[in-house]
Amino acid sequence: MTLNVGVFGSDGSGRTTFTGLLYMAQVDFSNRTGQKSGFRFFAEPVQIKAMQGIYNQLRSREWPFLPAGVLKISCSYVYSSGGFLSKLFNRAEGNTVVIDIYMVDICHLVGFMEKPIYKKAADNDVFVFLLDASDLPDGPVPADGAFCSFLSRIVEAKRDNSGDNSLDVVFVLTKFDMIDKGVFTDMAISPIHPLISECDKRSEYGEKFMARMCPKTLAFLRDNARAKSLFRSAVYFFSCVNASFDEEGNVVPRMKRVKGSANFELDYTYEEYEGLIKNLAELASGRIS
Amino acid sequence: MPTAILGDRAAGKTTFIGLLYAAQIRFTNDPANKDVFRFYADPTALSIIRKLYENLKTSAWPDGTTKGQKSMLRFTFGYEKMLHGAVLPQWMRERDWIHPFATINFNVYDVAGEDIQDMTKTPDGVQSKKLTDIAKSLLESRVLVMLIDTSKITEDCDSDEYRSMLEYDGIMATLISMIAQYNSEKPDPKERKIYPVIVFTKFDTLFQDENAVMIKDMEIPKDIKTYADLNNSNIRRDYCEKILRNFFGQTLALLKGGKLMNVSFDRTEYFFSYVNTKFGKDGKAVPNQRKILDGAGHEIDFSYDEYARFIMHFKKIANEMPDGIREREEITVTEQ
Repeated sequence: MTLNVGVFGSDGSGRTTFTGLLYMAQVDFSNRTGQKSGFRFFAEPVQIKAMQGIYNQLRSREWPFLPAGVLKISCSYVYSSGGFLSKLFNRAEGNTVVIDIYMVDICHLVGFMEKPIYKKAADNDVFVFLLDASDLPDGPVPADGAFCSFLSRIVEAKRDNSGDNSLDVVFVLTKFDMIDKGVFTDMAISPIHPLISECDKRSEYGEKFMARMCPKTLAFLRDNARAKSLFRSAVYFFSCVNASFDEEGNVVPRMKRVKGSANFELDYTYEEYEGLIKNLAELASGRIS
Repeated sequence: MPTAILGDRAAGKTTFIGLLYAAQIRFTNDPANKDVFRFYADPTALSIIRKLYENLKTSAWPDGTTKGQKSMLRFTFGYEKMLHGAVLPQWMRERDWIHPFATINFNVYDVAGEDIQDMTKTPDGVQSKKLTDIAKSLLESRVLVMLIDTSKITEDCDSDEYRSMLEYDGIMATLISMIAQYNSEKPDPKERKIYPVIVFTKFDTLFQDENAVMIKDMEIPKDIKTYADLNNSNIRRDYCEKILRNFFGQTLALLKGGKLMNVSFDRTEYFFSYVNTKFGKDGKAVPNQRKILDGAGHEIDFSYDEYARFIMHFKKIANEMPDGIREREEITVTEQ
């Protein structure tokens, strides 16, 4: 079973940093869990090079940027159960997750969907939307309308499809550390998001952000879920890179010492990315059953 | 079996080749290994390799070779086939048609960022999917010997050395991805099997006093002698993967990830290379020579046991060579 995942966001939503952190988390997760875990990550050389550029910038304490002309970055991973068949055929048997990160602004993507490179954008099983959480005090974000139009296009495209139509939506709230503490007080919520294990609380917490930043999208998804139509309940993740000042007083990504590691590692929300990787693996296995 | 020796600029490739040459001389001449192993290099390659060896024997570091010279660095290891040595009579063993040796053909490559770019460039410099001849020969390699310069390992994330370490990690990962992608289309599963070998060069530099905390954090033995006695390949792999996990994480992750393209890099073998040094006349560290224990004269004081293990590891690989690769190699030799 192959689960196709599309990642979308508007300009400034942190797509480049998200790509670097996802790559870093995949490398870390693959190496932390060891050979027996069954997690394997792969990307084609061109894609690896693009991701490495971002990864190297982050690990060198620089905010990343992508060279012009990169329209999409793809990678894949498998969560294999190992076992006899895998060894016999020398294959990583299991559920494959293929991730396409679209570097074009979602606000423009809707107009470009007839172009070959974007044609598959609406043809995913999981849609991951990136939202800059630091925009929270400004109210609804411009991407709200674009998300809605995009989701409507998907509903339209899938209407005639008689197979298993259920799709999943994931929201990743980026730059989570940049929200002013006062905003949390105003919203009467904790500045610390619920843990990965607290699924219900996380949905409730995430929806409070959505209600303020993307009310139309939230309403669209709620109506859709109520009608037991295409989309299942959204899942939320929270991303940030903790920062510090460099010698010249610039705010740069912070490195930290991790127990059991000899090297400094980027201080980011690894657990959230690990949660996202595992969540996608669960969705892939759920589709089989 | 085509084999690529890969390393960054100044990763210690020339010293590695010089030491491998020294090791093969000692290994071949050891009465215990009679007829088991043979070495061959053509005159051009041999003239380069022997100079590297002579430098080391005279307590000097080998000169770095130029990019052009490296492509000429080719040599062959031959391992006597079990059946040939044990069963066949002398007259039959002397016939050419028996193919008495399973061979490993080594090629040395420089791997820097621009070389990876070059691999997909046509001669007019336009990025293309067409592979250059060097790229094709590298991608056709069944064994990858990747050299990692241990002296370049650093945790100072603000330093230039740290950036070049990250870059080298990325280059290796990209290369693994390229090889996986290239080989994934081959129909025979045996031809999709790659044998990766990682050699930590200048390994003694990891145990300098300033790295004591790093060694402790990695939870690996702090005494280099422990590594010399490591016969258990699982423990050896465990220690080496700890080093990779900390400093060359992308390479390690992609070695596992190749299987997604049905190209297995899973059984990576690890070796340690170092030369014990002494202070030269100008106060700089130079290769040490030690007295030969059971004979006369001196020999280079280096991690010979690791090199002997390296030579024996290739015996296993040579005997596993799929028929398709053997046939292609024979055709190539005939064409030349």
